[in-house]
Amino acid sequence: MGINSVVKITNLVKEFKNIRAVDNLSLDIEKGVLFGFLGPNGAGKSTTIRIILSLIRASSGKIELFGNEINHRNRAVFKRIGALVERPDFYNYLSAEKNLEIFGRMSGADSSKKNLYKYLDLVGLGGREKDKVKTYSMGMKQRLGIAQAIIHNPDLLILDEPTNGLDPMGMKEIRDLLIDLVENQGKTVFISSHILKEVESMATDVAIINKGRTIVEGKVDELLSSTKMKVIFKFEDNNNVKNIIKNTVWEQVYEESNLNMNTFNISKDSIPELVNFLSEKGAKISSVVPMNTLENYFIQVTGAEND
Amino acid sequence: MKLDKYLIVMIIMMLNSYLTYSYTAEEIIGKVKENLEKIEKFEADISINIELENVNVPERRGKIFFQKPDSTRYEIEGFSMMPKAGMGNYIAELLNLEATLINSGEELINGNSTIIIKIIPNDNKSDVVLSTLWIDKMDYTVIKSEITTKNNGTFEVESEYQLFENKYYLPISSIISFQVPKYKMPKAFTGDTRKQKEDKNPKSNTSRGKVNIKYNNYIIN
Amino acid sequence: MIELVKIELFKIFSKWRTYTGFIAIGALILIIQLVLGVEGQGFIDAAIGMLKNNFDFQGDLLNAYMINRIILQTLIVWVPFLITLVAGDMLAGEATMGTYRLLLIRPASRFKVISAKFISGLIYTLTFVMWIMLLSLGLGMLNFGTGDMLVVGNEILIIPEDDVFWRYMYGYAIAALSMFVVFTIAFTFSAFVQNSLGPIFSTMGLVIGFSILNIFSTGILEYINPLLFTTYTNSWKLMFEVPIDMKEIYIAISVLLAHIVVLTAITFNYFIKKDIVS
Repeated sequence: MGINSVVKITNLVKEFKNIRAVDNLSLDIEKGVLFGFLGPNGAGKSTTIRIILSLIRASSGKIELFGNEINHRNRAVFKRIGALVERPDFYNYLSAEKNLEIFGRMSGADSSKKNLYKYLDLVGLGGREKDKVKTYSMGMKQRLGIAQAIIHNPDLLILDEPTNGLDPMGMKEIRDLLIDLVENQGKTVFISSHILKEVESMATDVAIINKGRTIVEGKVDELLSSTKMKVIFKFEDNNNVKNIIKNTVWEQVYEESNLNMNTFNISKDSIPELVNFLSEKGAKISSVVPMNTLENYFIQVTGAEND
Repeated sequence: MKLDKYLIVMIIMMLNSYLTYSYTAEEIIGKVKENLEKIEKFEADISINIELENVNVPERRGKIFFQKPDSTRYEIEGFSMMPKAGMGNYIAELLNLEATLINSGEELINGNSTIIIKIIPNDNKSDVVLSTLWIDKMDYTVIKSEITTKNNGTFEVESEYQLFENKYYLPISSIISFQVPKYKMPKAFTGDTRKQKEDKNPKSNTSRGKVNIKYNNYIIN
Repeated sequence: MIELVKIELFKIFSKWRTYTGFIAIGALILIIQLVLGVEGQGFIDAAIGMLKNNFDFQGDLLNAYMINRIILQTLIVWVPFLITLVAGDMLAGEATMGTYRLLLIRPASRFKVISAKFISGLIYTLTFVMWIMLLSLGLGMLNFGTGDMLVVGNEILIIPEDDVFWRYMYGYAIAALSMFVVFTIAFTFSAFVQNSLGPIFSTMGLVIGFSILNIFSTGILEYINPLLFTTYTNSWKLMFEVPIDMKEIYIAISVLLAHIVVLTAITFNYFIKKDIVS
């Protein structure tokens, strides 16, 4: 495990009756990154997050947080973690202030009124502290959810759909907050989201999972680099490709994948050249997808998985 | 020697004839009344213990105050159950009734030789129907009485007496006994679903009740 | 742990349903006291009237001690309903509201979380019983005074005034213990479901069903009844016997404690291992 590893997941498996929700998943999240955790519905994201947070027990595998394997008895490490899993559900019969106080106290936070109000203000709930949560909109609950996750100044923040229910202004506020936490306060943020553009705009690292397994993992910059990007070619006959590029310069940039995807690590400018070469050699190209956006990655990777 | 023997036998025979001299019932009752008349007033400490099937009450302590002719008052701590019959001046009240007195012989009770007198009130309206008194031949105290009344059934009183200041015979203990209906309370009323206590005599609807009264620390007249 | 218990108590006493029980019982006690204040002598006459043929009564048996016994006897049937309203919601309510996902990601272990909930629930139950005691005995003593206590059961028993108060203290302690069992049952059911209605109705069903079985004491029920907790719901009455049957009291306490221990073990074990998927 790297010195800077905050979350390390090794061969994680979770089975529910006959369903393998997490299937030998491995991840390594370093300190100080904003990590995007992506995957289609039912990929195992939520299950993985719940296992990290000890809401669910793994069937097998290992999870280390801050270098220590998680232990259901020794929970001290959770003082360094703040999280929001799925919907932000609170005690509706209590005010925002009281809810925040309860969860803050449980995490060892300063539960003085001053501190509570500071965090409520930070997430845009200033003036609504005393209102019962049952009067809150979905977006307001989401903001409160963020507040309870950060009030105790955790080193690791795990957020499931953090901008869910927020208007564009709210989304920007939360996005800026999370970036600030990472860039200026040295926190590590782990977010799971369906809004790929959102993740692309703030994440530094990303992993795409499907059917409980990691499909793609890496730095966003590298994955989406225009000077060296992954370009996926699909052919009518995928098996012929290796023979065509054998002993050519294209063989060196070819990346084998177990998903029947032919991936070439080339620059954007090299795409026409490669297309010409393959066409001349008789390869019938059905599609060319430059992986220059997370959306493309997501669709290609998860689509191929499902083929 | 022979003379001494004869003297002793004669003395015993004289004593016996004296003791078996047949007083009339009226004379015997008169002697009982004499004893009672001597007492103007008294007060004493009393303790009352009630023995009754399915009734459990604690011993009660208090004081009794008597003032001639018929004023009897009690001061008892807390809640108390005082027997209606056999308390206070019941003997004097009985003896003041116009009644026919019958000498019914003798009986030995607790080592004491007693004369049995039956008292039948002449007045039909009287609550007392029939009374039997066992009167000590030596001191004319009423050791035992059995009184049948219209309203309170039949009750018995057995008393032990002590001579005070060389002239007053007053009870130091009395046991009043009588028949009472058996106490039974339905489970639904009490909410008690546990087993009932064993009935010692299930065929009978009544049980024998007893009240033990002890008197001490008399202050007389 | 104390912090967690304080938080749980705050949550319990922030809900309206918690006060439903206090208000309902309070009203019932006041009504019963009012009725007995007016008609209590009639009750006494009905209980011991047959002795009037042979005895004159001196002194007053209509006092707080007698009235309190009747109140306790009447209410003990209904108190379980009110306790389950809170107990059944303690864990199921978190599932319904979805707050498990925020509650169980804290530094406190699940053992501590459920312990805090259990302890706070017991405190609530004890507070409830003490509320009954305060109103029934405390207020009763102010309104009706004290005196010898009339106990109407298998026999008529009069307990001297100075021998009653300590019996009530132990009696209420035993009553609280039997209510702890009711709480624990509802708490256990609450751990297994997502909605509090289930535990509430299940617990009451158990209380009513077992109470019905208690009425019959023949055949196999003769062996089963001593194991049922409802058999000992009225064990507080054992403190009002002369002499006190200590063996029966020890049996009652042991059976009730055993229920609590076993149910708690089951609940804790399940809760600590359960996957939170909702």
